[in-house]
Amino acid sequence: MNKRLLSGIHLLQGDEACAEGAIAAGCNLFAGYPITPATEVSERLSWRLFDVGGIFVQGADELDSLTIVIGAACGGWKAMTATSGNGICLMQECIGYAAITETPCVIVDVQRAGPGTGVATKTMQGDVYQVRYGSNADYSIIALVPDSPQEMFDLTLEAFNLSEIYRVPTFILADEIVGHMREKVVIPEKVSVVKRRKPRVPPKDFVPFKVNSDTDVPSMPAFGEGYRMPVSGLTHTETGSPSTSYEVQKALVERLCNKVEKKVDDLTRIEAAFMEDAQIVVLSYGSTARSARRAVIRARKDGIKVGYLRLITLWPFPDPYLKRVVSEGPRAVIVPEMNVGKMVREVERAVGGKVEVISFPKPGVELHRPDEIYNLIRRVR
Amino acid sequence: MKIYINEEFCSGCGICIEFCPKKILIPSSSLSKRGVFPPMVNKIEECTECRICELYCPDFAIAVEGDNHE
Amino acid sequence: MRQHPALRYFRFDRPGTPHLWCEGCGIGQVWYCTIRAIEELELDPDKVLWVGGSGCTGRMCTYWSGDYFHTLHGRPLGFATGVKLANPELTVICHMGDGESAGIGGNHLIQTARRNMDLVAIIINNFNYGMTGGQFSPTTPRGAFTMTSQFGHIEYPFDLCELAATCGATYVARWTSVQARQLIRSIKKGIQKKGFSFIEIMSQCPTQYGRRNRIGNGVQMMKWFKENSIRKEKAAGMSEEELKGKFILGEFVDENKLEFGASLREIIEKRKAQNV
Repeated sequence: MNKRLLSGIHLLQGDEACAEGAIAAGCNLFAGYPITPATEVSERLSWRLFDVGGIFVQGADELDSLTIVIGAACGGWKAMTATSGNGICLMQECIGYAAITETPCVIVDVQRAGPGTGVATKTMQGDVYQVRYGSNADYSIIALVPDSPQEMFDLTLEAFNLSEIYRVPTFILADEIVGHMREKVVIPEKVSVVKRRKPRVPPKDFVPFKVNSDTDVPSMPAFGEGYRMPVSGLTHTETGSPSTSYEVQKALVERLCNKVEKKVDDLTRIEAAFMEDAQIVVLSYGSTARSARRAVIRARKDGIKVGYLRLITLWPFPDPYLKRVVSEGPRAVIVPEMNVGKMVREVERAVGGKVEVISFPKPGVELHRPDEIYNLIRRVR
Repeated sequence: MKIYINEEFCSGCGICIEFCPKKILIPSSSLSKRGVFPPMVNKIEECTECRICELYCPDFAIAVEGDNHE
Repeated sequence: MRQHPALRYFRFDRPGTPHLWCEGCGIGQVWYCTIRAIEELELDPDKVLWVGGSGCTGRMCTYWSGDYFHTLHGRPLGFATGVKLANPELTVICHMGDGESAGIGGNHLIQTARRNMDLVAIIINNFNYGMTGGQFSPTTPRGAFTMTSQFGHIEYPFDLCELAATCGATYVARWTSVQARQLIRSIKKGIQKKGFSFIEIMSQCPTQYGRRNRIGNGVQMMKWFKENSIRKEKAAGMSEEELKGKFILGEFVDENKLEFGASLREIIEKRKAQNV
């Protein structure tokens, strides 16, 4: 078990596959606090990481965990934590800090029913806004939503890569079903791992937060490499000087947001099926999509022209894609999700009134059944 | 032997004056541009280069240059 | 004009002339003592990381010309742990205030000490939260006046050294801003010690604490420290009544046990041997 990439076919729990994805991506440090339903990520990494020369720390709490992760990242490593929705709450200050310092890190949220302590062992998709807007003021993050243990592996690996490229905290927004189910996971012979971009100029010529023209993101030296890095959570200029001026605030916030928002097309990942002649579309994400798939297939067998869209990148929200798709014919979009109806608002906003948007919320604990979605498709038709 | 006082940095706290073991610093009689009374050297020949003034100066506003230019 | 020796390591493109601390404040003094320790140990400045949180003490790291990590209020020790685990070659020095380390940062302090993480924690205890205007902190003495204890403080304060020692720190020392030479020596010891080193300095905040409690300005507060400093060896033979209001100084703990990072790396080595 001292290889990072355990190529082959495995039967893995979602949380375990997530841990393997992190290791495949080059994660060297994991710091996390036990919390249902994410505990298994910690447990697997508590022995796997040492075998590949990495370090596992059980944090004293979620704040301890994410501060250690961010510290390790600034020390040059790839680092990750995993928790559930109520742990993300505790991490919000650190998430904002990672955003303003542009520290690459992966944060896994295996969502449980909430609010508050909720139902630790049951599923929900209630944190879709929390991961995007939970910290104070304005910044951008990337969030990927797996629908299976296979995707827990694939998307965790992808999250590490995106985090390095965009230098933002990157979320794996799983839910309890995906986290705890066991399925076949194929780990390939080779994977593509993005290395951190370091400065190509000597320290005296390096401007800490000046972006590279090809990526709109600055290079990131680690502490101890001679670059005298001024890392701070205060609003700062390109040189790292703290500032209270409007111009500096504007420049920084716009840069932090635009580096992700303007690249939405590059970041959009959507699974689409039966869309060519779709009159009705079922748009879902995460484990809900597993039920949506079955419902759509069954409806198609009945001759209903229904299409299927599954969001894999939740943030940045794929506005341009939806605008394009909507202008091509569908007259209704059904959005089943396990919360009071959150991403449906983003869909409504993106389609701008051009199609009817129908929310199908189920507020936690119970997954949508395929026949529930199928019956709704029939009613809408 | 020379003692340099940076009047731009000195906040007039008086700590160097108080703690000099030889009491060779006294408050200046005129206000600095900052509006405080920085120290001035009274008896340079009695300075022993102990550098307590440097050690205690919170504003890094005083520097002792020994006869060896150390 | 010859410059003060601290300025060789100073960032001038930061707020203040030369910095933002008040007239008579002890933080600048501790800043220079830290520099002296680094110089006397002949450390490579490119391998020394200063870590800070919020508040006046938190700003210390932002003036250091090498790498600095200006983190969240109360949490420097967590961030510092992460960096040091990723790069054990670095000397990581955390400057924190009293409220920062023992209030909001309390859990980070007790856990980092318990793990015996190889870090140097320099705690500037000025008995209040200075930057926000002088509110009470977990070390404000009973009866003291602050912006949030205007009738006289009623809470009992921490003895930070006792706290750190109980939690497992392997080097614990306390001085006031008057004992600058001993402070430099302690910082050097703390840097060289492979374990969690905790150095507390009672320091003057004349603008808030000194003024409101009628102790006075920087000079008067330092004289107050000097008059009330007692070495722990002498204090051992004194009564509780005699020790009231005194600052008991010295080195309280100086021991050796395997630090956190080294223990973790031992697991890696063990597993390598087992997996061969």
